[in-house]
Amino acid sequence: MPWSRCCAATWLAAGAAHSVSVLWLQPLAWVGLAALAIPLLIHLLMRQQSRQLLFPSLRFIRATQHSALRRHALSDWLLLAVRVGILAAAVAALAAPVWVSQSRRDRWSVRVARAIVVAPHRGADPEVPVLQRLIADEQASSFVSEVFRPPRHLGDGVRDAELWLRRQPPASHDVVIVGDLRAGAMTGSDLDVLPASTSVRVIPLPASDKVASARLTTLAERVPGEAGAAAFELELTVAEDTTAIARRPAPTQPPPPVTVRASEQNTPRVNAALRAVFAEGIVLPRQPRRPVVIEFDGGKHAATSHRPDPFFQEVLERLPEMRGREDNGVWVVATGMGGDDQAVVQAVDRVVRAVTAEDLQDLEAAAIPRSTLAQWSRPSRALATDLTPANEGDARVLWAIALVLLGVETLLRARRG
Amino acid sequence: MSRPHVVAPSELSALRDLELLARTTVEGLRQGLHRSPFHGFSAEFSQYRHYRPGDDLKYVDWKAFARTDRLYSRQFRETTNLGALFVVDVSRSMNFPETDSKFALARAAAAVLATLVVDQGDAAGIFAVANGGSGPGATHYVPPRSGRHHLHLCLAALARLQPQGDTSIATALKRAGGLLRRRGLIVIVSDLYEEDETIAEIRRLARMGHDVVTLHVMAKEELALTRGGATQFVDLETGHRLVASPDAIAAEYHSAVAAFLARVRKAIAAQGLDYVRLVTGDALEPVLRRYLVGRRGGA
Repeated sequence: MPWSRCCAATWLAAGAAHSVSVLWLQPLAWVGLAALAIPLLIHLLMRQQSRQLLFPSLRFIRATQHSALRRHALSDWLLLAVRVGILAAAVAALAAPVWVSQSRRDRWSVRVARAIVVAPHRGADPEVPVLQRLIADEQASSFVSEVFRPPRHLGDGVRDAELWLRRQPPASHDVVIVGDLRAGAMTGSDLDVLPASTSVRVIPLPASDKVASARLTTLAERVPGEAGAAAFELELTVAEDTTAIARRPAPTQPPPPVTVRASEQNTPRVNAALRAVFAEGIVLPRQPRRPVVIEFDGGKHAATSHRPDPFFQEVLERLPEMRGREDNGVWVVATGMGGDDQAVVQAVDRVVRAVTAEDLQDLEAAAIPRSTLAQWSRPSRALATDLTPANEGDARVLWAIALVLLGVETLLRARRG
Repeated sequence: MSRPHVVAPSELSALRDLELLARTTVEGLRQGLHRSPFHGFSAEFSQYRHYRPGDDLKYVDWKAFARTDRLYSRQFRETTNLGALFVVDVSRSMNFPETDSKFALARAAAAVLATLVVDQGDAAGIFAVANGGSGPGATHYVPPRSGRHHLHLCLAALARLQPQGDTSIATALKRAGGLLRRRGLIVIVSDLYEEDETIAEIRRLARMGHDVVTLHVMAKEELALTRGGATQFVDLETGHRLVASPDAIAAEYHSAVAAFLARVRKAIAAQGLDYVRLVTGDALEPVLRRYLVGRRGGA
């Protein structure tokens, strides 16, 4: 959290118990208070304006050194106070204050800052008239709005929307996710980046194009819920909105379409992890869209490259040698786990699921159930406490005070000659 | 052609003020002073007083010394007029402060004592040297004479004096000694800043047999510097400038002035002469009364 936002939030929290609190949009400007030392030092160090005095004889008077002629005590409190006041008012104005009164908070909470995230569409033209009309309606009812169109993953658009909302003037935050929400298009974790005060609405639109019938043959060692260790082939057939799954025994025992790169010592562990994953009924396309490569080098992290999983992203950033190989497929790097086979299994499971979901998404025409969408939706909340207020022009009052004090200072100087 | 005895209207006003001041003060002083406070050294015995260094040995009563083993000087009541010459310092240093200056006090004191002297039937005169005596108007001299008309001339001369001269009081004293043909009373009214030269002249006058009374005029602002920040002091006589902070030098200044006053008093007292300090702002009458009563008692 930026320091200014932190400061603003702290002020707001402190002022919550009071009717009026002050937020400072540029709290770093308070560093300018150090300038208050300038008039003070000038006042103390400036050589005094010497008065002239005709005197009968100088025989008893010793010349005083210039340093001794400087003031060592404040002699003109009023003038100094006015000058300090001018600087303080100017610094406070530069810090851009925003008075947060209850009425102002009420006004802020009424208006809505809305981010509209259009889910990436894999089919034909997404700019269907229904979508355009919906976006126009949402924008019309917003104080400020922005449309986000993530190219591949809806989660990216949600993250961008959250960043954009942070920068907006105080208002209720609302995220609208709209589009052809097929299975795999989004998950609940995509919404984790949104703070609790942000309301979420998920609006599915009918796909403008129907997915053609397709067939995917997957491989499973064991059908979940059934005993036995025979290998089966699962055939998923997608036709319009209907998905059919046919199961038949695998003609042969094909090897999993996964390449394992590991040391001779670790290869059995990875293969065991793969078998454990398949034993749970996880299916993998017999011919994945991407080649699946699992690298196991004994490190402490696990990473996949093609999904924006924050955990994997972080690992990838720490492993520069991985970057150039992202397009090669899905990766697992599991190191330093020692004898923790469970961690290796989890990493492999994550890779396999990712590949499966991606391939299924291309074929699965089934929409996300409305009950799930309802779970992801959040009602409108109160005004966020962690907000960045816009400049409401309250600094003008402080500038006016500084100008008045400047006039007073001029008068005082004129009066003192 | 200048007529110095003619009084200008502005001076007349000053003269009237001076006369009124002198008369009022003298009337006040008379109460409690039954006889003339100024004693001469003429033939009629008046009283004894303790011998003071500088007293003429011929006035020492040796018989009394033989009886009491103490030295007494005989004093005599004047049978002739006492000649009193008031030597007034008109140097620029007397023009301080701007209001209620040392010079105004000096002039008032001289006027009061001159009136007192004339009133007791003696002669009073005024002498002041403004600028070395080289030009016209440089010397202001009213010879000692008695009489009311002469007093008026003395007061008029005092009223005309301005503290704008550049001659030291020592120079005036040097010339004053020659002006009195016989021993008399010389009253010096000055701030005595030319300390050494002035003391030397006072000693010389005392040796000549004159009774010298020194009225040391000081301004209250000289005795205690007005506190404050940086001040550019300008010497009234030389025009020299000097920047100092009274706050910083006050203590040192006070001790220097105190030493100066003590030195002058001691030097004059060593001659057996009278020393009176007048300070601006203080009432003149009580100081003069105290002095005159003391002088009569000690005489």
